[in-house]
Amino acid sequence: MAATTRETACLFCSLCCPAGVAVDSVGLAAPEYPGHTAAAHHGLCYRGHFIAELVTHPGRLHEATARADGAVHSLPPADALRRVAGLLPGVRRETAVVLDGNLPCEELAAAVRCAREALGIGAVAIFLPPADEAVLRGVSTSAAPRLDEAALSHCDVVLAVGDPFATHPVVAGAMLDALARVRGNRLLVLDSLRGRTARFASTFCRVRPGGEAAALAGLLCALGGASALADVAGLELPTLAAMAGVPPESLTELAGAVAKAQRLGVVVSLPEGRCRSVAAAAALAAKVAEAAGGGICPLLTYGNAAGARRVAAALKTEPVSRLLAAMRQGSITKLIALGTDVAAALAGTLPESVEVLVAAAPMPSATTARAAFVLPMALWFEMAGTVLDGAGGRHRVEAVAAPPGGALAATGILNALRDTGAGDQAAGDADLGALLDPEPAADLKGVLGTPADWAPPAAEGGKRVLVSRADGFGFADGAVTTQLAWPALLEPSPVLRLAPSDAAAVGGRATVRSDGGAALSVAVEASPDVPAGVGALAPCFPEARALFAWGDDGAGPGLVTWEKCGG
Amino acid sequence: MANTDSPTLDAREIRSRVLLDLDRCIGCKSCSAACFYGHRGMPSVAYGAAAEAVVPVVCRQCEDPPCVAACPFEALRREDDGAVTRSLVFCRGCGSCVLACPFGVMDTDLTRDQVAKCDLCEDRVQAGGEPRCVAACSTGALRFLRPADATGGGLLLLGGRTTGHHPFKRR
Repeated sequence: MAATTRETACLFCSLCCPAGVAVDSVGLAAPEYPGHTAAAHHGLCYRGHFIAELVTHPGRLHEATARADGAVHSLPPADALRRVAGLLPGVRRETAVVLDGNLPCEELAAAVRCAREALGIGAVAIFLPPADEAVLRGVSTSAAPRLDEAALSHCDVVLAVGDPFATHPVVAGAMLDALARVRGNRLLVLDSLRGRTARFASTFCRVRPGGEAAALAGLLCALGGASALADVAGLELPTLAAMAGVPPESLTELAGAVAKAQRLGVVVSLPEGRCRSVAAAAALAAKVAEAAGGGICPLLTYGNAAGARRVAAALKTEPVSRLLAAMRQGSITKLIALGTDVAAALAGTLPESVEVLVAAAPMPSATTARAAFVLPMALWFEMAGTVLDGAGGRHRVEAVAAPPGGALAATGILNALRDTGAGDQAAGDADLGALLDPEPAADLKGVLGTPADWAPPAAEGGKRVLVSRADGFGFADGAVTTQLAWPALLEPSPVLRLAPSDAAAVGGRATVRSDGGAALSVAVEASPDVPAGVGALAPCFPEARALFAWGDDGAGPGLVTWEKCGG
Repeated sequence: MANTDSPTLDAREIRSRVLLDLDRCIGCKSCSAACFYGHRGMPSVAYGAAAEAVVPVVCRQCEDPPCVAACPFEALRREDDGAVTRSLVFCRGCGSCVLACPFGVMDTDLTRDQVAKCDLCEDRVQAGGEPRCVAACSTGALRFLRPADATGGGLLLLGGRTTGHHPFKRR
């Protein structure tokens, strides 16, 4: 059976690795490895393999559905679009459009313009995982150069904030190359869990869960770079070290290693639920890099997070947090969600009063479950365009397969709404150069806030701290990956990792309750990587996300209690 | 090297093996995902816990494979290129090979009714490529090499198959 191989860039993380899919004559898809050569290993992590399964996944939506009188009816997509188009003219002012940011830049720009100019909807937002947005905002405050994998592999000292080996396995190759290049090169790790990266560390500094920003500020103080933060009060090493839960000597030792670096690379991997003030931590990490004459490598969940942020800034779209505030105030009552499972991603912070008018999605999700109309939508590897990786490098994504059935891209859906009567203007074409340059810079003072904002959650009165862990099977909010075969084989439902003593106390299963009132029954595993009094849970399960502490900047470590199931 | 007309043990000696550099394995399981998706949901990369590390364990393609001898249905055989392959048609999933394998590589739990067996991705290797687990490896920990090339490159072979300068020291 002859197979046709098509290549694209993988958008399951911000490294944008080359990925391929071979589709044989009967339509079965298998992964291919176009970027790999025997001489230069690049590889494709577990997430890159999901593309092949998603091409032919039986759960993909093929037809539209409409909800009426509590029942769901199937209907041709054209009919659904016509009915939505009939509703739109009366509700434009109270309707918001939220676009998934992990789409090519051209697609995002065209969809934003179409929603505004052709449909007359002013409240348009591009959704990024809040932690991605915060990391990009944080590093944009610094002039430190962005490092890609090639540049990272030539650093003599690498400081990893978080656990990049677990979240972005491909970058580990470059970091191990850097470590092995010259005897004496060092890998410094700052993390709250002893994860995969920490196992390879020359120096591992374990901070209190959520204490990364305080530790980095302390490191900056020890480096003598506190003058860069002169506007922020109370920057003293002992205070910051106490806040981060580490001895001041540990930060001084780290600072000594950083100061000796000829070429320092700072790698930041702070997914949802890991750190309370992600933007501040990213900004401080970039300042550490700047103070030592090094560069920064931000690792993000969305492959095109950097491109989406630039498109959003150029087209002045609404921040999702502002739309949520408008929803809580009642000025926005209807939502059109294109490609994003916003209900799962924001873990219940989407007000129940908001009517999801349209949910266009590749697969059933928490958002489609509450939508009046559901439309099948193409995934990013079924369209072509330009994306920006975390270091700002441009990549081209190509369609490796045609979208199934009646699935359309976001612009296809919006154009169809316009053509069926909801609008009467043609949307303008996107000028990519003007959209993507330059990177929008954030104000350092605004990003840092005050040191009080960096304080990790204090476990008092029987409370425990819940942090997120990345374990190699999920992507983002899990809207897609919980329905895939490989992740289901590894961890079909959330597993809470506890210190052996805590795990022995609760047995094999526990009920976790958050301060916010969410509760979940989970399997328990003992892990020596987790300190006592701390629980680690993967955030790529929609049902687990509500257990973390959600704020405007996304999720940080949550305060929870856990007890033996039935106890 | 291989003489397919009258294969001898030497002629059938496997040319290259999948070798693991323990110094570079981060336990991301991308190799297992590649095997899973490349073999229609039947991964044959097992995982072993060595001290604190979790490392992939791939079939060593034994010269005198106990799994072949144990199979009552002749579903397993050693090919001319040295790879030990399993016929999906003849395999009944009895698990004899799983019990016979001295390295614990074969596992029925992963594959429901049939036993997964590494075939060294013969479709890719015959076309001049590498097995999927090697191609997917994010860090270059898995390599497809002749053992002689591995030792010539200064790597230490453990158990004849596994490489690494100080394999367990780091962890």
